[in-house]
Amino acid sequence: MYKLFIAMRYLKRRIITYIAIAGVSMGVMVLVIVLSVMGGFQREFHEKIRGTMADIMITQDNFEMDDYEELIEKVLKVESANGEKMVDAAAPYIQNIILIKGLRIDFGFIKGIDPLREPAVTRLREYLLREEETEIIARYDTIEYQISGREHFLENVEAYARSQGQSKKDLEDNPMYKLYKRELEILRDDYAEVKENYEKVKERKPFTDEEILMLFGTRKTDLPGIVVGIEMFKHYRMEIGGEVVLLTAASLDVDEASQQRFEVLGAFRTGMFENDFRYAIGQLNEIQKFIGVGDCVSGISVKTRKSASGKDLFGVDEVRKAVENAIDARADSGIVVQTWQEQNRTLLQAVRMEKWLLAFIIFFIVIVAGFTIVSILAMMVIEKTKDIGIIKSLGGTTSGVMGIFIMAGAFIGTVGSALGSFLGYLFVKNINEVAGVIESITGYHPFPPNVYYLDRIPTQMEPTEILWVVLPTILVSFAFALYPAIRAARLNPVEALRYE
Amino acid sequence: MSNRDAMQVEKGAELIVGSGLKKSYWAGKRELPVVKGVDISLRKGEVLMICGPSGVGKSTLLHMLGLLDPPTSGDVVYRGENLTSSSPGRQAAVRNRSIGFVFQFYHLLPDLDVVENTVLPLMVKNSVFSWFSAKRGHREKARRILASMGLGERLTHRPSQLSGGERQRVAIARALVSEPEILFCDEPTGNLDTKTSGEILEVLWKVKEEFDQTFAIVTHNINLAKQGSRHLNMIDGKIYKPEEMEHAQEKS
Repeated sequence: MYKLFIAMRYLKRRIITYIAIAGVSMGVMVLVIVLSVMGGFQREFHEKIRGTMADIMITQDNFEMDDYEELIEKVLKVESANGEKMVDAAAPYIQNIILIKGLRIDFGFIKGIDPLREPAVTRLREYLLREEETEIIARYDTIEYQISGREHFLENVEAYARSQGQSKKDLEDNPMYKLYKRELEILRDDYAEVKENYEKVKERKPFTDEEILMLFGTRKTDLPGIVVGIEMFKHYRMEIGGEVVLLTAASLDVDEASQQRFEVLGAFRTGMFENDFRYAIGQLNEIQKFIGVGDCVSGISVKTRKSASGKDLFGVDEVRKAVENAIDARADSGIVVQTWQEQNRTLLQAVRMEKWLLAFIIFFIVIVAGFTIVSILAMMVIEKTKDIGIIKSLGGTTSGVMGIFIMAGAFIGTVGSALGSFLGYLFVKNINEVAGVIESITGYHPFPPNVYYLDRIPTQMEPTEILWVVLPTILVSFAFALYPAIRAARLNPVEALRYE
Repeated sequence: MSNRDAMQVEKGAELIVGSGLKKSYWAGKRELPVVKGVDISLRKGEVLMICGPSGVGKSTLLHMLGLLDPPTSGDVVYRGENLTSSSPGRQAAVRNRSIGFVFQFYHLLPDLDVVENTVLPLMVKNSVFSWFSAKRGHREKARRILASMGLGERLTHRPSQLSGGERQRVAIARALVSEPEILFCDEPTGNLDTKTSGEILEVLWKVKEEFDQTFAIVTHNINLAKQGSRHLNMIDGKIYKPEEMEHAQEKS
């Protein structure tokens, strides 16, 4: 009993105790914040990858899959051991690399889908944009640019006028200045409305099956049509109903490369920049013709069976195995069946690794805080040598004396962790407000949405992860208390009892 | 049941026996003998005085008998149990339950108040769980003892706020709180003026009367030494009975 009691008494009223606790809690707080934000990014990333991919993909290279309808029939019949259906839907797709001709040439990917079947296997219907929605998003992204550009320009003009000794009146009489000023006012008036519209687009309704068919089927010209990612749409200044030229080749034989004009039918937005910048989607048969292959595909997208509320009824790996068996996919057939995680394994692993690597590095803050614990306790041992003697004379054992100092260290670690977790929690809960405050003070946005392609800083707090911060922290404070405690145990305190 | 009654020992029977006790310190390779072979016994109910000038090894002898300092050679036997070779845990338990110490320099913990200092031996004795169930009773007991020593108004003071005499009374209260069988006092009045010394001794004699407490008191004050029921002299690391003194002085 006395160990804890005396440890607390030794710590109380010593400012250095609070400094040590502050050090530990600072480390823990930063760890909690970093893990939560990285976890948030990881989740967003997961979500976005998940959203653009089917649960399971059956692929075969070199456009050799021409029996895809038979395969789909087999896949749809896949059943579990007790006779339950395991697959909800399957759809063929063809994919190839393209060059896009614009002001500059850049590469991308063309994907041919079946507009009837594709919506059942991916989230395409949620990503597609109606014409007015496309315009709103494109407008929103440009208007901010335009406003800040004009603001800068006007500021420079005003500064120049001042340096030339012109009065404000002179400047306001200048027709060019007036024009720019007027433009800026109009833009600013528009901005609120554009932003409001943009917020509404984020809540847009998914496309119905009819809308999807209409989108892919309605043409102004007799050209084949494509739906492009919103970033590609903006970058190449495309217009709905306008034309774009794409190049592709089915093989390395350059003579067989084909060039084709397409009509831009619409746009989509997945929220993942690379997808929205690189991908264009067309109808399967038109894309097959463009690539220059017969009725064959790159693969089949499969959706595993879901409950009414959208939960997986079977593990995705379990379904993959069943599908493999059903279509008799062997290594020599060249057919590969992969889950969405397997397809993105390295990417997903890299994100997770990054998170824990960062946590590992930041944990050194906690270790540095541990050094304060060592120095506090080492000092305390020297200061309290006589007390140790007294406690021993009252029947305290050597291990009991060690216990006092270990408990003091553990106390600093525990209270520091608790406080740090709490502060970290508060910070994470209000992280976007904090970012807003920083922006309003410094004028610099610590999290520019256009860079990260996210509107808000994503966070994800996992209680188990906090435990993985707190436990090692307490362990470290234990470990660092051990050295002073051993020194205390090695003292001969009876000597100190002889003197005042 | 108190420790004093736990095992009834006939009055006058030997409680602690030290035989062949030697203690040396080492200054590099040179041996400095401090206690040079002492046979001593402490009997139930007596007040044993060990008298001698400073630096002759009195405190060291007391620390060895009180199991605070291991002897270089020799044995300490408590109630027939040789504790010299016992585990540190066993020795600590005996110190906690059966032995009380009062030091010349009081040795109170400066971070604890008067009551907390006094209950400390009971805290050492109890685990966390047994402490909380008995906390109130223990603190009450400490308050009672402190009040009987005239410290009732000083309970929440810290040692630094007390006078020397008051500190020593707190130290005595602390030594008595676990009702030890033996009270070892190392120059209990050595640091106090005559008047305060008198008050402290009064407290000690009151304890003696009330509980028939067994004492071993170390002092350099020959007048105090004569107030005990038995007194021994210590010179140059050895013990002499008063009748041997002339012989010893001749020798040294």
